[in-house]
Amino acid sequence: MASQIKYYPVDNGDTTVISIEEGGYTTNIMVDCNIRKSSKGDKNPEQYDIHADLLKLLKRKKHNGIEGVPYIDVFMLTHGDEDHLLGFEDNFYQGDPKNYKQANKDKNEILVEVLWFSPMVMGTAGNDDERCFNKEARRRINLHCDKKDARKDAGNRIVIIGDNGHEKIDDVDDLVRFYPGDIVKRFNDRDLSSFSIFIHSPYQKELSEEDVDKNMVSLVFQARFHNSASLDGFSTLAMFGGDSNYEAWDTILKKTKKYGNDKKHHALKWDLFMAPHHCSWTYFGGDSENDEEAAEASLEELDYGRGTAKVITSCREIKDEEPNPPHYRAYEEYVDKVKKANVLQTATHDKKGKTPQPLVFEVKQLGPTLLKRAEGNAAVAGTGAVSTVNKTSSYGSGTI
Amino acid sequence: MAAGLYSDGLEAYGRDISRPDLLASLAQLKTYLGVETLTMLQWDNDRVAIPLLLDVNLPGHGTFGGVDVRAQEPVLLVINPHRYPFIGPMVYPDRLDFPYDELGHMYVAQEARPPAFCLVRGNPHEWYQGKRLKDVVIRAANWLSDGAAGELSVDGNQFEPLRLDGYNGRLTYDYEELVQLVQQERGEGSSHALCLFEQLSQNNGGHWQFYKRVQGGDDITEALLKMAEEVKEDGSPKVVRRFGLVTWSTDGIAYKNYNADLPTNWGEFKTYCSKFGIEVDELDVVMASLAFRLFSGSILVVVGIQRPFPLIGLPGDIEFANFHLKIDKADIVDERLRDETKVMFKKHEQLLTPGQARRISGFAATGLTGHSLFVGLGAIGSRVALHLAKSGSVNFSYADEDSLAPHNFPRHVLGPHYTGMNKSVALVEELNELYPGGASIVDGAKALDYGISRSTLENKSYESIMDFTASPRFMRELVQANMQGEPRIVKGYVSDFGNLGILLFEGRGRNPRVDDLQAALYASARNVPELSAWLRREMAATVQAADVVIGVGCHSETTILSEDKIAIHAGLFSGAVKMETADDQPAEGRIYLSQLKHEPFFQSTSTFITVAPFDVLKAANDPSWEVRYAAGVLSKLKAQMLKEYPRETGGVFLGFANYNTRTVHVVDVIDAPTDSRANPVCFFRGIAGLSESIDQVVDKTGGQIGYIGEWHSHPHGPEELSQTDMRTVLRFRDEYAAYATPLPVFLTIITPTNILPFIF
Repeated sequence: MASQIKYYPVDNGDTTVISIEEGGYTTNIMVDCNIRKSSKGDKNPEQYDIHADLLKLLKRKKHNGIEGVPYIDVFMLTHGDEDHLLGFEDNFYQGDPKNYKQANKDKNEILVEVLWFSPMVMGTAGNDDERCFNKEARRRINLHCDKKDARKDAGNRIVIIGDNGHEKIDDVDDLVRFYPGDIVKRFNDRDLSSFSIFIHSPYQKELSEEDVDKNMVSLVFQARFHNSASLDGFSTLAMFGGDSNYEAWDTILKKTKKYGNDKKHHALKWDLFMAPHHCSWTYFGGDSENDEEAAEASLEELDYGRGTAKVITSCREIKDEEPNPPHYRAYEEYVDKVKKANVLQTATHDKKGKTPQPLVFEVKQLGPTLLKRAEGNAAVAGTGAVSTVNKTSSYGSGTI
Repeated sequence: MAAGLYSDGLEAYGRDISRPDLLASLAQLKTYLGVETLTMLQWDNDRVAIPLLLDVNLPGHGTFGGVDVRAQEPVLLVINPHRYPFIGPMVYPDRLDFPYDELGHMYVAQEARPPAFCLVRGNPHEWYQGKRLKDVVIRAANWLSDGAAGELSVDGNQFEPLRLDGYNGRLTYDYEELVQLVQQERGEGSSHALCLFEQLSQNNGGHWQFYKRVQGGDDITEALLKMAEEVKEDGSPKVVRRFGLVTWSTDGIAYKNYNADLPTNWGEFKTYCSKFGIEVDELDVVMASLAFRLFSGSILVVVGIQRPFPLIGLPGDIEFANFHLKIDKADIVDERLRDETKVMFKKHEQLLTPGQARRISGFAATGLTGHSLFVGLGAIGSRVALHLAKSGSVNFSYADEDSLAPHNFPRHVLGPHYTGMNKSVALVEELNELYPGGASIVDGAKALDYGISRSTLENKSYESIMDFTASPRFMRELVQANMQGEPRIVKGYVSDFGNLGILLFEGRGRNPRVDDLQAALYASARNVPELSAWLRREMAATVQAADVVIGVGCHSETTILSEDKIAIHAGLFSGAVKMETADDQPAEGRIYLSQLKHEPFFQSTSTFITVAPFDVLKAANDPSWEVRYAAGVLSKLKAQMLKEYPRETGGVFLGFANYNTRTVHVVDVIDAPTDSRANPVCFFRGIAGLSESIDQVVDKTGGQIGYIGEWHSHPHGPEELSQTDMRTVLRFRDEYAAYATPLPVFLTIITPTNILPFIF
C-alpha cells in the first residue's frame, strides 16, 4: 500500500489515520477517534463503520501468544472533547499490555503502542472516554515515574507534547517530550526518513483552572511527507488543528514566523487542511452570529495552500441553516480561498447508497491525490459477512 | 478559446436500443452518474457514442509535465449495440485539444477520429466480459488520473511504448541487435544505416525479417551481385531480399511524446519523423537515392525513437516504429519521392532467442547452461528435447542414428516434411526454425547422426547426459563408461505398454547410478502393488523371463502407443529435468514415475522415489566384478553380526547380477532361516521357508529381483574364505553349471573390521 491519509466521515467529529509506508513497514498514526456504537455493523446505513474498517486497515501481530491482535503505532489526541475521543474506551485496549487476553482480541480491542498525550489539552475529564484516556496516559506516565523497564514496551510507550499543564512530571526525565517548533521523525521507536511532524501547538506554558478551554489548546501539527523531487521537498503537507480557534492560529502564525520556521521548514504550508472545529466559525472569529470579518491570520494561513490545495470539512453536511457547526459562512470563506471543488465534505463527497465513504488521499510525488475509485465486476458472490446472512429472514404465504 | 468537442459534429442516434443486458447496464450507468437520461449520438453506422463528463482525481501540485488533463474531462463512451457485449465499449477523449501526444496507453487514431484510451493490457473485449458499463467509466476516470500523474507513460522508470494496431504485415528482428546497431552507428556520427530485409511471406500484408546491415560501396555491390545470383531458372529470386533503412535521431534528445497519428504517405512520414528529431531532409535524399539506384517497389524503414527510459518489457531505451513504402515508378519525381507515396506500418515481431524463451517459460537461468549430450530422439526423446529447447535450453549435442519414417509421425514431435532425414539433423533444423537468429544455435546445438559409443562418453566432457534411447546397449555403455568430470546422468523411458514413464536421475558422483536406480525401482515393487503389477505384466508379456526387457522403444510401427500418452510422460520428464537441473545435484538419486490408468477413467498420476547412494565394493577375488549394496544393507549385516556375537551368523541376498556389466546389485537381505545353526566357528544356513520367501520376491518383482548370493560372519576372523567356505563355493558352482544362465557364486564375508565380497 502506498502512503495515504484517510479522513473518516463521522459527522461533527474527527477521525483520521495517517499511514506511512517506508522500507516495507507501514506506520499507522491515528488522530482522534469518533466511533459511534450505532456505526457498527449495519445498524445505521447513514454511518460508516469505522471500527470494521480499522480492523481491515491496521496491522496485526502475535501478542501474548495470541495471533492477529490489531494494533496502531501511534494514537494522537488533539484534545479531549467527546467528539474527538468517542469510542476510545470500548475500542482501544487500556491497561498493561501483558494482560491483553484472548477475550480482548475477541472484542477486537486495538492495542495502542504509543500514546501521544498533551497534558495541556487535558483538564478535568468531561466524558467517560476522556476519563479512560487520561487514566491510560497516567498509567503510562507512572511507569516512567517509577522507572519500570516495561515503560519501553509497545503498549506502554508515551510521548508528551507541550508543557506539563497540571501534570506533575517535571522531574521525570526520561519521558519523550516534544514542544512547538519541534520536528518529530521518530514514531513508535522507528526513525522515519520519509515522514515527520512539525508541532505548532499547544504552545501555552501554563493554564489556570478557569482558563482550561480545550479548544484553545488543541494539538496543532503539520504532517509532512518528504520527497526531494517534490515541491519544497515535500510531496504532501497536511495540517491538523483539532478545534483550535482564530486566536490560536494568530499565535501560531506569529511564533512560526518569529522563529523563521515558515521559511526554513515550510511549516505553515499545506496541501490538505482539516477545517478546525468541524468547519465552525471559531477558526475565523469569535462571533458567529453577526457578520464579523474573518480574522487576518486565519485568512493568511489559508493562503499557504500549495497547488490545488484542498480543505477537508469533517462535519455534517454543510447547509445554510442551524445548527452550527458546521457554519455556512465559514464554508464560504474556505470556498472563497480554494474554490468549491476543493472543499471536500466528508459527509457528502463520496457515498455508497446512503453511507458516506472515507476521503482517502494517496501520497504521490506530485502531491496528494484522491484514491482511485474501485471498479466492480459482472460476477459477484456474497461472503458470510453479508448483512442479510446475519439476520433472520421471514417467509410465508400468510401472516407469521 | 476552447477547441471544441469532437461530439459537436455527431448527429443524434436515431435508433432504439433493445438488448436487455445493454439496457440494464445503461440503467446502472445512469444511477451511478446520477442522471436521468443519457445523450446518444451516432458514432458510425454501427456504433453509438454517449458523451460523459468524468471527474478526474488530479495530483495536488499539478499534472506530470504540465500535461493538459483536467479535473473534469469530456469523453465519449462508444458502444456497438448489435454486438454488445461480445464487442466491449471503448472510451475516447471528446476534447479536440486533448493532449494524446503526451500520454501513453492510447490506440492509434483511425479514420480522422480521436484515438481511444487503452484501458487494459491485453484484449479489452475479453476484459469487458467481467465488467459492466459503470466499471468502464470508473476505469476511464482512473486512467485519466494516472495520465495526469505521469503513471501512464512511465511505469517504475520504464517507458510505455506506442500502442499500435491496424498493422499491415510483420517485420521480425531481434530488438537488441537493432539497438546495438543504432548505438554503434550513432556513436560514429551516422543517422541511418542501409540494411537488407528478407521476405518470408507475402500473405497478410507481408512478413519480412531483418537480414543484415549493409555498408556502402563494395558491400552494396556484393549484396546486389549475391541477390542476382539467387535467381531461379524462371528468373524470380529464390529468396526475396530488399534494401531498406534503419534511421534515428542524433540530437541527443529523449522524446517523451507520442504520436497517435501514424503516417499513411511519405509526406506525413517526414512530419512524423521530424517530431522525433530524425533528420528529414537527409532522409528524403537517401530514400530517393535508394529508390532510384536500388529500385525494388518495396522499401522497409525502421524509425528508432529515443525514449527517456528503457521500454517496458524490453532491454533498451529506443522504441522502433516499422514502416513499409510501396513505390511505383510514378512516385519518383526529380529524383525525390512524391509526398503521396504510400506508407504502411508493420508490426514488430521479436526474433525469438533461447534467452527470451527461457524467460517466457520461467526456466531458471542456472539450469542446463553448459554443453550437454542428448541421446535418443524417438517419440519420447524428441518431445523432451523440444520441450527443453522451447524453454531456451538448446546447448546440446543431439544424437540418434535413426532416420524418420512415416510410421514415426503418429508419435514423433516432428512432422512429415522431415521424412528420410536423420532424427538429430531434423531436430536441429527444427530448432533453427524456432530460433532463426542463429547465433545461439550455432554455438550450441549440434546434430550427431551416429550411435554414441563409450569412447564418445569418455572423451568428451558434458555437463549432463540425457539418455532417451530405451537401448540396453547404450545403457551398458552408460554404466561402464569412465566419464570425464561428473556429468549429471538422466535416463528416461516408457514401459508397461506406454502406461508408465520412468525418469532416473543419478546422484552426485554417479552414485546411485542408473543401474542402481533400476535395482531400487524393481525392489520397490515388493511394497508397492502398482509397481508389482507392472513388472508382472511385463513378465507375462514375454515367453521367457530371460527375454524380459523393461522399457519399450517406440520406434517400431508395431508398437501400440498413442501420442497423447507420450506427450503426458514427456511433459513430466521435461518439467522434472528443468527443476532438477536448476539446483546443484543432490547426493541421492531420484526416480520419477508417470503413471496412466484407464479405469475408472483416463487419469495421470506421478510419484517420486529418492534413492540413497549405494555402498560399492570390488570383489576381493576378482576386481573386475563390482558389488553394489543398496543403502542400509551392510548396516543390517553388521547389526546382525554384533547381535549374534560370538557366534557366526549369516543370511541370503536379494538382488540380481549382470554379466555384461559384471555387476551384482544387492537390494536387501533375508535373515537366516529358523533351522540355521551357528557356533563361534561355523554357520549352517538352513532352508526353512527360504524358498517360499524368495519366490514371493520373484513373483512381486516380475522376476527382476531374486536370490543372488549369501553372506556370513567371521566374528573372530579370518579375513578370507575358509576351507569350509571354499567347499561351499565349489558345490554352488557345480550346481549352477546345470542352469541355462548360471548364477555367479556370490559370497560376502563380514568381519569386525571388514566386508569382503567374493564372486566366482
